[in-house]
Amino acid sequence: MRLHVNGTGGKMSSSSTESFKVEISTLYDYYENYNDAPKPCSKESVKRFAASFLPLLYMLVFLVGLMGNILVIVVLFKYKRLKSMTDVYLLNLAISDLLFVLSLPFWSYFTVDEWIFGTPWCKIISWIYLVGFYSGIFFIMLMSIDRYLAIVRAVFSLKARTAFYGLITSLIVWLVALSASIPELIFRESFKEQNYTTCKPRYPGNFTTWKLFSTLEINILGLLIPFIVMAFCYSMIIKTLVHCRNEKKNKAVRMIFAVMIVFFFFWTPYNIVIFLQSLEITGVFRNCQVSRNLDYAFQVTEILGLFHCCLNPVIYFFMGEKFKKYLKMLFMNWPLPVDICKWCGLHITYHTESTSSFHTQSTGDQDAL
Amino acid sequence: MQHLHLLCLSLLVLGCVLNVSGGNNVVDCCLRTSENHIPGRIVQDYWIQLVQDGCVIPATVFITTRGKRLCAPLQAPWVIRLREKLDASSARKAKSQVI
Repeated sequence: MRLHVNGTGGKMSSSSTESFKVEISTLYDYYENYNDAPKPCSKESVKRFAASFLPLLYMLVFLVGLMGNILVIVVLFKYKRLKSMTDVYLLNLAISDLLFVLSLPFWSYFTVDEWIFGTPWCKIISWIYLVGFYSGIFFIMLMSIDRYLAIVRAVFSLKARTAFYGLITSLIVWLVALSASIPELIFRESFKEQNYTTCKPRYPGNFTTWKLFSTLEINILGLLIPFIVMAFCYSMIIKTLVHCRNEKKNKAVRMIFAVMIVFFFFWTPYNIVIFLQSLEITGVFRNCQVSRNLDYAFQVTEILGLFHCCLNPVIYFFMGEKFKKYLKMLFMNWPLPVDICKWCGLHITYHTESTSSFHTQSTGDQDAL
Repeated sequence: MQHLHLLCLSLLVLGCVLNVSGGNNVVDCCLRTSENHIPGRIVQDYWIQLVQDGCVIPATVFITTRGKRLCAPLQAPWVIRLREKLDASSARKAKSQVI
């Protein structure tokens, strides 16, 4: 055996031995146990699938998310002046979505080529992404608590729903989101892997445990807790609204269902897929096709989740009645409002409506709903 | 609204046309290995697959002279010998290139 190995690796490297080698390997391919030898599960199709449409979808989410959330921030500062708790949360939600969206051009480039930005940016961008993810979901959760206080605990809410308390709770949310994402900041690294520069977490010690931990962290903080809080708040709100006789009741209940369904429709699939992928790492299923399908599912469900941050401005802000009026005011001050509005698909008629109906909305809650 | 639809559609079409190569964190992994010996003459290179890369098992991946990849155990004696042999020949190649 020793001799045999030395023989092929020896100093005879003339062209004749080369061709001999190739011939032998061809023979081996066809007749020996080559076909029985296990081959790596090829993910070429997944990579092609990802690279063909992910970069453009990332950029689409980036552009739509950027425009929508900047518009929210501009309107909030210009017309609302952050007087209530709802305004503070809306502003923070827009900021966290903006943060999240800003990391997308980097991921977009990463899917097309490789990670060329180095380890520091790998850490920072991954951190920003996860902080944006957590804080966005936490602010949606706080919005549901805010509405719960306004509608179910109306008396208590007079004291509690101030901009000051909004600011304090927002700071706490930012701290939780920042610290929950610290593992990402510590362990993410850019390194060469199979001739491909990647940006991935490199955990010390047991990789499987870390992977399971970080997945469960996302599942619990990003889905389970928000689900429990939102389910409680909105069910209490609906219970209260059923008893009151208000013509806006139905619209409000519909809106609540829209918020809940949209949130879970966009985020649950992603959570299920990353949970299954962490199970895959533990070796529960060792099947190439299953693994490939999970990779496809990951790409699709991640994009679905990303689109949710474009929808936040629409759900929480643009659908509010006051917002449309603010938007009109904003665009009236611009030089070429007609062209701009054509592009955002909002055909606004300026002259037919006056701003007389501006003060008809009584509470900020119905506005938010 | 029509403009937006048109924009989305054209972006999607463009995405299909471009069809760029690459992917993000998807790695080709060996899911199992076999004890069947791979002859040294048919392999030209190898790399080591680790659990840290996101694979279920650690393994040695040999690349044959025809560019095919074969999964072998990480620590079997014959695998270690084959790896050492490949290391030695690649070191010699690098040395001769420098000279």
